Amino acid sequence: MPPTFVLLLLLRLLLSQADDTPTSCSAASRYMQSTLPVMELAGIGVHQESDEMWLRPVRRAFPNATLFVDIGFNKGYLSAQIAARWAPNSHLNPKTLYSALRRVAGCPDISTSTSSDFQTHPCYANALDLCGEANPRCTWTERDELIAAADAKASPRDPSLPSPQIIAIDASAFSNNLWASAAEQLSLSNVEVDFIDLHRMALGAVTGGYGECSNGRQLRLY
Amino acid sequence: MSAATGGSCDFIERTTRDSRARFAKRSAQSEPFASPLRKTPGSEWAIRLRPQRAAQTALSRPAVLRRSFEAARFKKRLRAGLEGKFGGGLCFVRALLSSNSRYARPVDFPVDGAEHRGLDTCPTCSTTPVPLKSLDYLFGLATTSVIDVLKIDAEGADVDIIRGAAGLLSQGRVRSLLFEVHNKGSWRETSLCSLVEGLSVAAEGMECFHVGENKLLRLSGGCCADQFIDELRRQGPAFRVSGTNVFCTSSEDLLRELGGLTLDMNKEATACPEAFDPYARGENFVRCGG
Repeated sequence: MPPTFVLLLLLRLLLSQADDTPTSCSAASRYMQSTLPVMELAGIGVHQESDEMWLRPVRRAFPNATLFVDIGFNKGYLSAQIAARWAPNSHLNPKTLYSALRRVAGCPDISTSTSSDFQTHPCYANALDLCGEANPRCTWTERDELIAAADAKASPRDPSLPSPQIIAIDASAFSNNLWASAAEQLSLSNVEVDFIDLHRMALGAVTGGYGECSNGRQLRLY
Repeated sequence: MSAATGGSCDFIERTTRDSRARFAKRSAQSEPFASPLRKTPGSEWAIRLRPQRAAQTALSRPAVLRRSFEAARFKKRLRAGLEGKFGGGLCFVRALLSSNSRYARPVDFPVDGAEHRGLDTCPTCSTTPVPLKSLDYLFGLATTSVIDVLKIDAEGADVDIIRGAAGLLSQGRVRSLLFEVHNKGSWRETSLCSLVEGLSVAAEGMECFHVGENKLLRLSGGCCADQFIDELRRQGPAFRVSGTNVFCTSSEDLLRELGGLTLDMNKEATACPEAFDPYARGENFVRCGG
């Protein structure tokens, strides 16, 4: 028998033993986790970046959320999704972010952009490598707009509350540099950004309003 | 909720400033590496630069004056309160997070924007001491701010970061948590199920779910299987995944919302509506809406 058929058979057998409580734990649930193909067959969908699956319920349950912490911020696509859902006035969403990152694909002090420069320069934004048009994390379609609007209508945010704050944490300075450039020059100019470097803060040097390239050049942000 | 009153980072800056002296004392007592606290002021730029270049940079820039000037400009802009501004804003914090704030690690992260770099997954990183921070340290146990959404994607260091947030979690100051389960980093010696059960104890009533593309799968309450991480190692490449997300919350409102998305082991699939309803949610939205 083909392996898929055997797995399906096993799953059906285990499902028949599941108890009656919806979403309750069962042998089938545990069995599924030990075999990714079965998880896939059961319709869960093995996926690394299923943001919509949890962001939508959170938006509905926490319309007045004000503090988000994004650890491992990198290019900021998740934060852009958060901004699009909780602060639509910011006009910050994965699409505008991607567009901004494309336009700053390198620090402003890079006048020449040969291929080798792009790959080796420490300020090079590799957004183009890691994030293409086909990646759903980089797009914000009319459908996304519609869904966000529907969620906002179903759970309206209290207008008297301040805009949410996103604290973006990353060990690398790369995101700071990239966003510094994007916020300074491009369409993200309607987003307040601030920078703090705890690597340096331990030395007593509190920074604010700065991005920094590894070549020692600082970018003016404000 | 957030207590930001000035720049986007003021909240972090305040709490960190308050605990800096305590951190310095602890680091001096127990730090196994050369403490960056003992460096001279002029060498502060040397953290990620070659010493010679750094020294030139520090000498050629009136850094303190420029900082004050820029800070003043920033505050002026905030006061202006431009209409439609994303007032809460984005605060970028460059920090290396882990389970504690005691030690400086001899790791410096690359600045080329490469993803997939974690504490033990960056062989090309230089060996500049970088202080570790915990979330408890960063957010300060003395404050009362509540994190609505805490997302962690730290290339295998997720477990350590969660451990470093034990204080926040036990005080109920994390309303929802998303982290990535990997087959690398600290996950090699960590049981996902123990972590899930630990979370339900630390943050009272917190429930966790695997986040699939179409469905959630409940992990709390004994539903978790530890073979998952091994399976991720074995079969992950076939599914083009090196990790998957786990989402946790103790909010009853949110758990209700998640209920419709969670795989119901006994429920027959319902028929899709004829027309896509953007207000629909749960399985019908996921299964039929796309």
